Amino acid sequence: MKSGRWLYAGAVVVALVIGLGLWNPIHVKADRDYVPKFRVDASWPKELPAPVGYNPLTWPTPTSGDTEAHRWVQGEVAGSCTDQWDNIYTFNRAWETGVTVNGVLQGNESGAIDSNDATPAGAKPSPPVVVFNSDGKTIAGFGNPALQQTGPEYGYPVYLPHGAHGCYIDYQGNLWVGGNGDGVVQKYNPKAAAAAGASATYITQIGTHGVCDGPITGTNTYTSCSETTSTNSSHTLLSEPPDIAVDPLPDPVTGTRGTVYIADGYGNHRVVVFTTTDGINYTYNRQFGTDCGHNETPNGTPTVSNPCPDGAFGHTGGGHPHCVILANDGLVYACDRPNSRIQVWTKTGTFVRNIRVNNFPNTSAAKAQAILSAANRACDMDFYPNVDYLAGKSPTNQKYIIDVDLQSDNGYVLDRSTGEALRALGRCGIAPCPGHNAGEFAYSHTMNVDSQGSVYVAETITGRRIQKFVRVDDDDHDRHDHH
Amino acid sequence: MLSRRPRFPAFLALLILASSYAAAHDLPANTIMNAFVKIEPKEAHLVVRVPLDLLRSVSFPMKSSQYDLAASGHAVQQALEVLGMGFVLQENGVRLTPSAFSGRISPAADRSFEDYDSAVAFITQPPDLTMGIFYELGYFDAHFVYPISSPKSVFKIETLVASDLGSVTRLTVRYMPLGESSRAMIITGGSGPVALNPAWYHAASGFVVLGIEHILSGIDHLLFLFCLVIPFRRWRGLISVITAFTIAHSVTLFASAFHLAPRGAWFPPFVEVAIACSIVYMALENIVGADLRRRWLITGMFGLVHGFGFSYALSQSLQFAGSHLLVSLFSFNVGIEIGQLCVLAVMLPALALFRRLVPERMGVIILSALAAHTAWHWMLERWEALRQVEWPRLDAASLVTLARWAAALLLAFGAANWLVKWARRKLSSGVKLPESPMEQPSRSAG
Repeated sequence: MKSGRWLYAGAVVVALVIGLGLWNPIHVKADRDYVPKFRVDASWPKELPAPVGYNPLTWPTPTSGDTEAHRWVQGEVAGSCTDQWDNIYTFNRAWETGVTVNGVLQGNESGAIDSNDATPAGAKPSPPVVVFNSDGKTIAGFGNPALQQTGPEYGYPVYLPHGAHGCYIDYQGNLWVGGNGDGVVQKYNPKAAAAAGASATYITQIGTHGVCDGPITGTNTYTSCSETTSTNSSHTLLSEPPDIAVDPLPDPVTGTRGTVYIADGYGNHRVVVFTTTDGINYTYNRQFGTDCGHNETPNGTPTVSNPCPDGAFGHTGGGHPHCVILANDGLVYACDRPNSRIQVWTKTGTFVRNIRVNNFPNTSAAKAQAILSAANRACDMDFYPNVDYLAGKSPTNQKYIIDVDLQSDNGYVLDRSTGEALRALGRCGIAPCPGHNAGEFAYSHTMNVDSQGSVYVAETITGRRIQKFVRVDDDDHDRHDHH
Repeated sequence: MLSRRPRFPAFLALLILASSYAAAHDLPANTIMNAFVKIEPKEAHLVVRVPLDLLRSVSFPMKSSQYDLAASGHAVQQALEVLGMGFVLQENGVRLTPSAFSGRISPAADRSFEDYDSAVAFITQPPDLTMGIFYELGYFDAHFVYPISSPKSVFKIETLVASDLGSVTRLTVRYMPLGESSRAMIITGGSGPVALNPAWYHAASGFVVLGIEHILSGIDHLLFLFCLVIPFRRWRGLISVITAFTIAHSVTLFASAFHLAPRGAWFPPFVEVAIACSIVYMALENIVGADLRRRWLITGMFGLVHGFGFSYALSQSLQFAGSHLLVSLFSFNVGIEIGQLCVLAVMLPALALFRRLVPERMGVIILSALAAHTAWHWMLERWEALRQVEWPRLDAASLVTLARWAAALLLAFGAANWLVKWARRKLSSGVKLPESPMEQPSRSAG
C-alpha cells in the first residue's frame, strides 16, 4: 500500500513538472506543417441519377413513352474541376460514343459505355458535364452530346470540343472546357447550362470548332489537329488544348481581369494567353513555350539523356503542356508531361525554373525505379492547401504540390521547392498503383483540390471515374492559415 | 441610398419565396446565405448576401448572357421585397418591419462580406456597369434597417428564402449585439425562428431538452448505463456510481466546451472506441463478479470519456446559447441527468422483474453477455475507423498537454478517493450505516 502511494505521488510530481514546463524529455519541437496524408473516400460519389425516360440527346426532357429508369454511366473522366463552393465538375467522354464507319469506330475515344463496359440493362451515357456537391450527390448534368451524322465530320461532335479534355471554373463561376482533339476552349455559364441540359450553349469560345492551328491535310477539318503539323503561332487558332486557367487579378500587360491562359499542348507546344474586357470577346495577347524537338527521356528512363532547353516543351506524346495553373506567387505552372516536369513562368512569359518529378527518396529503391522508368509523371497538378486564389489573396502557404502520374497510376504530394515526393495518394504508397479498387488508379489523369483540402483524381482510359481523397491527419493548422 | 418600402402584395412575395426554386432534378450549386445582424440603440441592421440561384423567381433583365445592370432597377426592388418577406426578424416575438432598405447584384468573386463594414459599404456602391455578371453567377446583397424599441430585447431570425429546399439552404449569421462581442451561428432552412440572444431561461430550457434528447438517443451511453446497474438491487447502491459518472462526464463536457479537449482528427474516433470499450469492460466485470465497492472509481474514469462523447452533440448547438454559455452547459448536463433518471426509472423495475423470472446470478451473466457482444462489435467497427486516422506526433508541445491532463486526472482521483474515505470515516464514527449492497460481498449480487 505504501509503495502504491509513493508511486501515485511520483506520477503526480512528474506530470506536474512536465505539465508546468519545468522539464521536457522530448526535444522535438512542435511542427504543425505535417505532410498531408490522405485516404480514399470510397463512398464518394453517391450513385448517379437514373431518370425515367432519360435520353442524353434531349435531357432533361424524357423520351415520350419510355418508362424505364436509365442510370447515368460516365465514360473516361477526362477533366475535373472545383468551384468556389466546393462543387466538383467532371467532363467525361461517355457521350463520344463515336460512330462506326466500315467497321471502324470513329471519334477520339472508345469510351463508349455500350461497347466497352458491362452494361446493366438501361444504362446510358451520362451528360458530358456532371456536377457533384462535396457530399457526392449529383446536382446537375449538361452538355450537348450530339454527333455529326453526315458529311466529312461524320462522328465528330456537333457542338462540344472533340476529345473532351480538361475543365476549369473561373473566379466568376464560369466553366471552361477544352478538347485534345479539337481547336477550341469553350466558356459556359454552368447555371444556365444546367437548366438547358443537352441544349446547353456556350457563352463564347476561343479558337474555331473543328479547326486547329495547322494545315488541313485530309477530307475533314480535324486533320488540321496534329502535333506534327501545328504551327505553334496562330493568334486565333488553337491546337488540341487540354487545360485552361483564368486570372482574377489585373493582367500585367493590359490591366484587365479575366485573362485566359490556355495549355495549348496536344498539337501546339505553348501556353497562349488571351485577354478580355467584357468576358465574351477574347484577344490574343502573348504566348510562351516552344517545341523542344524531342523528348528528354524518350523511353521513360530516369536519366535525362537529352535535355530540353528551359522553356521548351516535350515534342511528342501529347500534353506539351498538359496543364496550366496560376499560383498565389503570381507565377504560371505548366505540366510538361512528356518530360515529366513542371515548368514555371512569370505571367509575361519569362521562364523561372523547372520542377522535375524525379525525386523519390521516401520509398524503396525498387519502387522508385519502377516509377522513374515510366514517363508522363507530370500529368496534372494543383496546390495544397488550395488557397482562395480566386479572390486574389496574397501568397502565403501553398506549400505542397499534388501531382498526378499518368503512367504509374498514382498521385504524389511533392515539396513545392524541391519536387521531392513526400507521400502518395494511392493505397500503394509511393509506388505504381494500378488497379480498379478504391485508392488504386487506371490512367490517373487530372486532379483538383477543394477549399476543404479534399483531393479529387479523375481517371480516363479504362478508369472512367473520379475518386475523392480526404485528409486523415491532424490538419487544422495549414488548411485555414492562409491570410 | 436606402429606399422607402414600396407596396408589394405580401401574398405574392410569399408565393415567390415558396416557389423560388423550380427544377426538380437539380440542386442549386450554392445554397449558403451570409448575414450580419447588428444591433444599434434604435435600429437593427440586417445585411445579407443571397446566391442568385436562390432567387430564380425574380426576373433580372439580361443583355446577352449577362445581367443588364443598368436596367435592373425594378428587378432589384422586387428582389428586396422578396427578401424583406423572406427574412423574418423579430423583437420580443413581434415581427419587425424594415423602414429602409437597399440592394444590388454582386459578382461571384466579391469578398466584401468578410466583415460588416465592407459589406455595408459595398452595398451602397452602385454596381460597375462595365462589369459582367453572368446569369446566376453572383449574389444579391441587401441591407435592411429595422426600428427597434430596445437593444436589450430578445431578437430572433428566421429564413424563408427558397423554403421549398428546406434544410438544404443555410444561413450563416454573425450577430453583433450592442456593447457585446459578436458571435456566429449557422441556421438551416426550415428551422423556424432562432433566437440570436436568448434570455437565460430560454437558453436553459432549450439545452435541458437537448440534453434529454441526446441521452435518450445515445444507444451506447444507455447500454453503458445498463451495464452499470445490472448487478444492483437497490437505488442506494447506485448513488455513488451515478454521482461519479455525472461528475466525471460533466468535467470533460465543460472542458470540451472551453476548448480544453485534445484537438485533431484522431480524437473523436478515439472517444468512440473508448466508449465501446467501457461497455465491454463493465459487462465483463459483471460476468466475472468483480467488487462493486470500487465501481464508482471505474465509472468515474469512463465517465470522462462519455463526457467527450456528449460534447460532440453539444458543440453544434452551443452557437445558439447566446451569451449564456455556462447556463447552457449546465442545463445540457441537467438534461442528461434527467434523461438518465428517466431511463433508470424504467430499467430498475424491469431488472427487478427479470430477477423474478431468472435466477439473479444467471440473469446478470445473460444480460451482461448480450451487452458485451453488442459493444464488442461496435468496438471493432470504431477501431477500423480509428485506424484510418493518423495519430499526432509526440513532440514537446503535445507531451506538455498530455502531462497536464495526466496531472489533472491523478489529482482529481486522489481527491475523490480521499473524500470517499473521509466520508466513510465520518459515517462510521457515530452513525449506523444504512444497508447498502455496496458493502455486501460482490458474489451475493448473483
